Amino acid sequence: MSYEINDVKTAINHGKGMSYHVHDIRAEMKRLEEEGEIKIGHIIGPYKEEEVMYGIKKKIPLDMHYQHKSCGQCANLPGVPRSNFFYRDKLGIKYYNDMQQTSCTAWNYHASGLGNLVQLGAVAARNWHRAYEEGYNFTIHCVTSFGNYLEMRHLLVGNKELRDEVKKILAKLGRELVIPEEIVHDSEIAYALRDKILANADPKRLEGIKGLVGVEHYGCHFFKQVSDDIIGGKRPIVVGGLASTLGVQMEEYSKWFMCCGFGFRHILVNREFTRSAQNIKLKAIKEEVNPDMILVNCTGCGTTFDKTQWIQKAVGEDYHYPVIFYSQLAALALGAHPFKEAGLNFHVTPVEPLLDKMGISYN
Amino acid sequence: MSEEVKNPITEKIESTKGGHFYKEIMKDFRIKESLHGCLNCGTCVANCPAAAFYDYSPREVCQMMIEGDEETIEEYMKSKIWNCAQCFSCKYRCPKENSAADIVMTMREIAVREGLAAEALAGYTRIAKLVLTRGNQLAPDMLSPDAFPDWGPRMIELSSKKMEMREELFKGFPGMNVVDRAWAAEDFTIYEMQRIWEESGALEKVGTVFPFLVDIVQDDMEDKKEEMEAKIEAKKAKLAAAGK
Amino acid sequence: MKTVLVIGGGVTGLKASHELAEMGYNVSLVEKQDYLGGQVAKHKYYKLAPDMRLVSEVLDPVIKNVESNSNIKVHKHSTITALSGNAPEFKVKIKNSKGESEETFGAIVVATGFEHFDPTVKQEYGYSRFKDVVTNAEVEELLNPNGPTKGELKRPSDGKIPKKVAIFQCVGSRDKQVGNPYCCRVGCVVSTKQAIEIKEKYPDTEVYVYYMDMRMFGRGWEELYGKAMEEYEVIFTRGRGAEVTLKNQQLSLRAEETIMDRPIQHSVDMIILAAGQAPGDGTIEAAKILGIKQNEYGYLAPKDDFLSPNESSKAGIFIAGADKGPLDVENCIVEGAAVAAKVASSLK
Ligand SMILES: Cc1cc2nc3c(=O)[nH]c(=O)nc-3n(C[C@H](O)[C@H](O)[C@H](O)COP(=O)(O)OP(=O)(O)OC[C@H]3O[C@@H](n4cnc5c(N)ncnc54)[C@H](O)[C@@H]3O)c2cc1C
Ligand code: SF4
Ligand code: SF4
Ligand code: SF4
Repeated sequence: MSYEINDVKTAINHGKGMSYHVHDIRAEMKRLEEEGEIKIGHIIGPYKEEEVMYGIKKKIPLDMHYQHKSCGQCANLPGVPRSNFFYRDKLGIKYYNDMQQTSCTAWNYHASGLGNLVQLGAVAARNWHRAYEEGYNFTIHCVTSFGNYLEMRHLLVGNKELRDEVKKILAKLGRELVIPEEIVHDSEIAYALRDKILANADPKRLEGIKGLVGVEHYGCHFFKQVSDDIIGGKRPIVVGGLASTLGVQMEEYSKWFMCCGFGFRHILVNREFTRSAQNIKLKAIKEEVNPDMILVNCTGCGTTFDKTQWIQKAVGEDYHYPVIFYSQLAALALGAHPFKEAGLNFHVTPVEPLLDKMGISYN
Repeated sequence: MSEEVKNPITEKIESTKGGHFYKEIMKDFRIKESLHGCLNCGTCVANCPAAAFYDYSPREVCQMMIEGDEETIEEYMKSKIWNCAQCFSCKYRCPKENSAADIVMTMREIAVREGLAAEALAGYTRIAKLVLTRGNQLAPDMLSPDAFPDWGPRMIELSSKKMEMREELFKGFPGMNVVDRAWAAEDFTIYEMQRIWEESGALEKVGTVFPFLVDIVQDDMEDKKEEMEAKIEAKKAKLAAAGK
Repeated sequence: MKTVLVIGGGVTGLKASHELAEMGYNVSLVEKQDYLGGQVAKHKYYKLAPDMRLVSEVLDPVIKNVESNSNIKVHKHSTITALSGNAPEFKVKIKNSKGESEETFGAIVVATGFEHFDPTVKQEYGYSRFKDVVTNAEVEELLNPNGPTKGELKRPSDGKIPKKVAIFQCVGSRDKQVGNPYCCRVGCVVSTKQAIEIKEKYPDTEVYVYYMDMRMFGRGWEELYGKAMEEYEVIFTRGRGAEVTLKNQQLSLRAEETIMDRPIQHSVDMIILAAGQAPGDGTIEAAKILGIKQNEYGYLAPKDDFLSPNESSKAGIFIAGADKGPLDVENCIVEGAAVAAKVASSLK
């Protein structure tokens, strides 16, 4: 079923007429800032306001991006960070690729239970402080990190005990607790910039993108872990919104909501689960849409979709849907070399047929 | 989870029910926000990928925590909690805004602390080591073909060519073309990470599963301690000066 | 002063107006719409639970009593825009398409009722995107012989009569996710009634009700529930509807069968959402203009729920009916009469 992004932009009015249900973390942060309990890393430079749940406006910074990289992407799908840099270079956005950044360690945490909240909070706050120190807006490549940082913001704002423990550790490192004014995922930024990306796109590339059929899958930690602070309300729209702006025909499939099967630990130690979940998703995608590509915004899902199609042969299925990140699509539209600049050659499920269809040469 | 949030259910249960695991779980402040009574409606189960494949039920997770049923809790602590995919589908749709996902996460933490997780974490040595010695969770050279035979022939081809491919991709991006970690995090950064794990008690917890890792980390820290602490002192002085 | 303003021409406001007029008061009834009868008229309810009585048997006399009473002045298509003064001399501006006028009243009755919860916000049910997912209010219209389908349960997508119908209870009620933790108090009986109506008309159609609790506390409700199971073989499954998907033009639902502890998936032809009640915009607007207290969900708050249930937070302004919280027709009529008595004693 093809759909318009505006059709799914429905949940913004949740709680209409009821004030008690609205949980506005921004107001709480402001109060804590006034009390001197925390600092806020305010948005630097221009921003665009986008609606999240309850019609609250989220400020999406348009320049000066601290790039909180994803370890999974850098290791496994390096074309994604490269595309993130690429579209910024093309649009003249200043960014900072920090070698003093650490992983958020949330993947490890959710998979293994090693670590604890104080540790996760302190790691988050250390990275936040890096962006603040350097004078940049904190922006996030990875969905696991994004969900974790939303959660950490929520816990640190809401719980004084945890806040004090984290502050104690930060003080020992010569740092302080500076919570970013907005926790922003890179796909939200790309969505906010969609018109600019379109305006700067290579017309020949757009010609190739036009009419491609896409389905989307969002990371669970993008919209389910903390579900009231993403653009569009409760149901995410950013990837489909960007793609349809660039000319992709977005289609809905019945299993869009379901977890991809990554499972944090299952992808490593229990891949039968991952493969079975994948088969359910891929089957629905194939039977209902049979698209040209699967569009994603999450490290774990991208990996899972890309790496688990081949093995489905074992159960008699033949899937071959290229897995493309929102930013790789943006980079392609802006003229990136599919391999040297968008890193699509790191994908295991072949991307070549898609590139052929788009009329992009890759050798 | 503001400190003002009062949850009569958890408070009431805390004072009347027993069982070691139950009490340990209830001590975690997250539970107050993850459990608000349960309608037994099954919305969580209907959306749960783990319930679709395993003998596992997020509804049971919430129910057993409300009842304080130690036997079921133990069964979960010992193995069932590791079935959860941490996808938060249960939390997203629960009409009571419960979060089996967060309860399970709390239980995983406790299972590690209580020495119940050795089997579940058997495959985790490499990742834990990487986090503690590199500040990253994943590195290109962990994706060796033998680790992931089911990812297909292209993966094997990739692992052999990845050095050149990465060099080409990251031309002009210093720090990005490494294979033993995700990016070239600085020594000082890694030291800060190690300090966080040490100070937060998380390193000690790692010791319950991987004792040798603690030794590695402590040795590593010891080697660079003087130089790094001097750097931290400088940072502290700068922060203090800025504060004035 | 012997004049009373009644805001809202649903069953509650109609009953209150009539009782007051009978007691000799001059009543102005202000109704936003160009018809009387409130939600019951708007959605063309056909039969009322639990007796399956025709709505016209109840509503027509109530409307007639108002329209034929010379003590009542009905302002259709009108709203109030401003209030000044205090009890027992309120000055109220009434606005209609022709303009605005100010009148003076001794007391005010607010009977602005409710609005159906809009299930679009529960996007997992696909309402407003999947054509054959409909609300219970829409089904009332479909089942009415004077309605758009002349009483046939034609599904919107292709006009066919569904062979399998699922009804989801508690849509937008008992649900913190949408900010409505309260019970809609009529959904259960209305769904049971609709299930029976469907089975009566189409004995071959299977009707499944997905519920958490069947709350049958009203007069004759539990008996109706029994009848649905015994005589009509409506199938009640304990588990909340969790998700609706559309796959190759086929609706499919997910839930957990909580008695057997198993997740289920079920293909059906039509899904009816028992959408609950929410405070209407009209109620919220009236509360603002009149300066009376609302409760945390937006409904009007009585001065004291037990001791003065029909008094608002402001002296001389009275409240009744579904604008105080979900209520059924029978009790709305009781409320209408009760508020009239309270107004009369206060103006004495
Ligand atoms: C699907 C469904 C089926 C139902 N079926 C049954 C049933 O079978 N049996 C039963 O007992 N109950 C049933 N009910 C309940 C029944 O609908 C209500 O009890 C009843 O309609 C409430 O009457 P009311 O007058 O209080 O409010 P309403 O019917 O909502 O009337 C309020 C009136 O006030 C007007 N108004 C609102 N604001 C303003 C304003 N600011 N200025 C002027 N006018 C205004 C509105 O236009 C409306 O006409 C059902 C409810 C639902 C949701
Ligand atoms: S987080 Fe765990 S319990 Fe919750 S739905 Fe996902 S797999 Fe099930
Ligand atoms: S969804 Fe929530 S209320 Fe329903 S069974 Fe699960 S935990 Fe209980
Ligand atoms: S009356 Fe029935 S359908 Fe309505 S909220 Fe209560 S239990 Fe649910």
